[in-house]
Amino acid sequence: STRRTHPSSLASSRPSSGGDTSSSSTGSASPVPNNYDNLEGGSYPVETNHLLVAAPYGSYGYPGMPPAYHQGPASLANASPSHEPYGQSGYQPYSQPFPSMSQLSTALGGLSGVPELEVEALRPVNLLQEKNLLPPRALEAPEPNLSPELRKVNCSPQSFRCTLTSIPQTQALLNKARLPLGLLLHPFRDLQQLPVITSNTIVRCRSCRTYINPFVTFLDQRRWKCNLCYRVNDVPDEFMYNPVTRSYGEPHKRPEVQNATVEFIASSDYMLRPPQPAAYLFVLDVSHNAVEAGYLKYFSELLIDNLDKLPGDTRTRVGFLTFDNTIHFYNLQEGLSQPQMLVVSDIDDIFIPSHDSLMVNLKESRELVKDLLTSLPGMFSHSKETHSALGPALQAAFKLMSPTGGRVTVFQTQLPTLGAGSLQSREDPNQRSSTKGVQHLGPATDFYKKLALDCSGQQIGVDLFLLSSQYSDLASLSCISKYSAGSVFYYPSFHHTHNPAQLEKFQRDVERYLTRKIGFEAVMRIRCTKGLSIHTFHGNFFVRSTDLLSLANVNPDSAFAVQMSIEDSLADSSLACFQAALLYTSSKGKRRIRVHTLCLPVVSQLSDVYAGADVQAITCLLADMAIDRSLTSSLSDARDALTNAAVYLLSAYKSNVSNLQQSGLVLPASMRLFPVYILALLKQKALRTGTSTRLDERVFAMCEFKTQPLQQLMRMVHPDLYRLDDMSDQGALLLNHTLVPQPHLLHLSAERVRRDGAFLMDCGNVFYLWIGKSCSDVFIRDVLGCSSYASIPENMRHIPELETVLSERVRAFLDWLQDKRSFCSSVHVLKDEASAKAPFFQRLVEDRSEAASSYPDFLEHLQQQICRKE
Amino acid sequence: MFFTIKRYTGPDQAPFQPARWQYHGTTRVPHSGRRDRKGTLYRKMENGGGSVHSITCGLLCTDFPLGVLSQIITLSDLECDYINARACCSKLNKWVIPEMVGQCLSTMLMLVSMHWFTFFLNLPVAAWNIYRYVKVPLGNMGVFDPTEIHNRGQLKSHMKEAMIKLGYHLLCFFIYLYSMILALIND
Repeated sequence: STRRTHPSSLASSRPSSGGDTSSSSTGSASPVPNNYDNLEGGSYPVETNHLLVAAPYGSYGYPGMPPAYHQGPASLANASPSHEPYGQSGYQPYSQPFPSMSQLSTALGGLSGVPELEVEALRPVNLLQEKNLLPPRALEAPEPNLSPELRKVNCSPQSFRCTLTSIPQTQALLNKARLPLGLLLHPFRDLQQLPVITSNTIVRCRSCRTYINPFVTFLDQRRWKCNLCYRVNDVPDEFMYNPVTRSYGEPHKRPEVQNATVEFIASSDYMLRPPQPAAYLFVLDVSHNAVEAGYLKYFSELLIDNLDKLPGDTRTRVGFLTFDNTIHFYNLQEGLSQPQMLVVSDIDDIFIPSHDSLMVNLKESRELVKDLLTSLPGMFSHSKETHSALGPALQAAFKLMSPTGGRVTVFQTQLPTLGAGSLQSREDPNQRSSTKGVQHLGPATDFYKKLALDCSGQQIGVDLFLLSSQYSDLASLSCISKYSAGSVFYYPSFHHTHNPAQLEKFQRDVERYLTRKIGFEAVMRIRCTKGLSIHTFHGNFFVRSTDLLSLANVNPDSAFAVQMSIEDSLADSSLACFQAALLYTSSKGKRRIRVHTLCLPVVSQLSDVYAGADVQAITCLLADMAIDRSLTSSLSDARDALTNAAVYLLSAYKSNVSNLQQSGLVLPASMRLFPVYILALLKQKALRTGTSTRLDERVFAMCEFKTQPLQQLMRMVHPDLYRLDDMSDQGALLLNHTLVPQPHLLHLSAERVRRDGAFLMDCGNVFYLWIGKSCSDVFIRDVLGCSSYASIPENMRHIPELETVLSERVRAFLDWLQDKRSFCSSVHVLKDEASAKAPFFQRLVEDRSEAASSYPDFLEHLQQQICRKE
Repeated sequence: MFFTIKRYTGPDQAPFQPARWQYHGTTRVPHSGRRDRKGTLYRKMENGGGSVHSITCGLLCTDFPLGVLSQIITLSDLECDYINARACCSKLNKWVIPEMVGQCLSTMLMLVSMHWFTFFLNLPVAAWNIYRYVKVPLGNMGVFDPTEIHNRGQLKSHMKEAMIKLGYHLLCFFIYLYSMILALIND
């Protein structure tokens, strides 16, 4: 239809929706006057008296130059005489970082001769014969097949990862490969170093609004070609100056063009309202059930301890709200001698009793806040009220936070039973281990979804901590966080004394939660090269328009994924680029834009597509797709789809690429772990059948799949297993004067686990250290500090700091693993005893479990399926 | 060819249903003209029995194409980023029930007046409208859900559906118009 042609032509004149600038409704259809020109870097008034726009270059003509520029650095020397007007420093070193497309493709062509990596990735692996599929070290993201310069500046795979590091040219080729195309993003993760750019003009493409990035092409010194839409743009004057080297005329050396991940301090053009103060509202369940669980005391202690570490500045505001069958507000206005509790019992028509004293400045009312937190656990200790009016409490929170937006943290311990949003128990405990299908994975009401969208519109993010021992319908409750870009935490069977493991996890999570970075009023836009389009989004956010994600809050622990399709052939270009731009208000009240750009080669051969396949990213994306499928269709459909993904890949590879007429299951080396991962996925709580799984735990596992970053998710699905007792310094890394031993990865099968060893399983947020019955006493004594196997205590939760070589090695290795993640993982020491070893052996996914097949059986099943298809 | 031809001979056919039964199948005037809803209704109005029906139906069949057209415009607004998903979906959801009721009503009228061809033409669309309304999952905010519309190509399939409906309603509109003119001429 004709209307479809509008976006590109109108985008430049409608910056409010074309850019990441809009943080509320972009509903207006009237074109906004084109007052963003200065920002976009185009239509600069030509200052005739400007030094640089001297006569011969007035028209940006570069009379004798263009060929030289297209030839690249080699021929620059010939052209140097014409650089004279720029002076010595200006033009001479102008070697284009990434010259024109044609040149790139020749560079690539040269590269793709027979690069070793690619050959290794394509080595056919017969799964039935090769038993050791795991690499010795944890699997890394594959390197895209790019020229070394491009590879050097490309975005870190931890922030931005594509399932196929070689993008197929056409949708037909993609279909033939039988692999999903998608991106996995972790845009707000904690970074060690990040170039922050303060500049009046943020240079962006005039038509598609892409931020300038290392992969654009400088046609000449005053013009650059967008790598996403191929429009030629002007380089603004300010951009000619390089603040790092303090030299003029080197636009290609600016930090924006040297780094694939940059952060801009945005000007007021990127704001719809002045940056709001950081606002935190805590909504606490104080019903009888909550008092029984006893979380309040621990929460209060943690919050008091971390009050100073809450991200924010002098304007930070906090508020508290508690609820059982009524809603209690707390007046914390500065000057009061003690906190004042206001009770609203009309939960059908909730109102805010006082408007300015409920959300208070943390700095001014600090003592009152402390008073309240100290007295809170005692205040309700005799509560007999069993009902929970969560819905009205959330409505109250929404009303309270609407003016500023911010973060609402909800602690809930049971099924909401009163007022709007009350729910009924839907779980049938007898169906927990049914193999037929699982009901009630979706929400029971749209109340929470609607409220979440209202919250999202007012820039309120809602995070949910569910601590319950009974069914609480997380499927419905989680909607409040899912669509307001919040996070969900779930502690099944939480009890402060009976379940110390959950309590410990709760404390660790809350501490990280309170102190982690936060961005408010955020939007993220994902742009990709013309021809590619996004068709499905995974994660916690609200998709406001085709490529704009509205994130009321953004936190460093949540990740997103998108699925893409190839609408038009990419044959014209040799590179495909993706850019994710996250615009947010920092807790210090600064508007910032974090931009990640990823560049990948485009290929036309199926074998190249397989060579660049990223098996971990593919697994994660398939997991997301399976979750969607189980919600829209059924769990068994989702499971079938996963198995089929492996079957289709195996048969596609057999019929298209491998010319060996060998029988058996053959996959390229890059994808050799795919069946293991699929089997591991099928055994996860979210997708398993036949094993007793509580509905809430299943739903929570599904939420985790959608929001956890790739590394974390992969460790959950397929933990890393190492043997610790025979570690040597061979191949160890030397980091900061400590030797970090590098034990080999082991397959997750009981046959690799020996009685006489000690094995470490890294499951992401927890390390299990399993000690075999006949493990050497030296290891037990030197590492655990116990005299013998029998004297290892039941609930050992740490590795003592002993001055022995073994202990130092183990700790160095654990610290090294820990260093690579943002949160603190706990260590559980497990003995080889029936009750204790269960969590360890459950995760050995290659073994047969009560309801699921072992890896060899699974391969056999795949082979049968393939035969049936042929 | 299209319909069984029915003729109402005069205003004295007071008992509506029996008279129609009587005439149905007995008085066949080959090629004397086709009548459809409009024509029938026109006569019924004379009978004084179905004036309300006729107005509803007349409105309906002109309103459908316009309604679907506005649906297409709203959807493409969303596609082009002129409107956000929430606003778009609440706009579209408002029309789901009226459309369904209208479609069912007109189908019922066809059935009552025994215009079998148009009845069977309307039936699948009415059935589809009911089906998609009933099939909305509990937690969704209606047939068009703002949180889902950008996923799994839903926007495209909604667009496709609206396009097909537009074609269908336009076709119907012209069939009705044609039949009405024929009916008028025959009178």
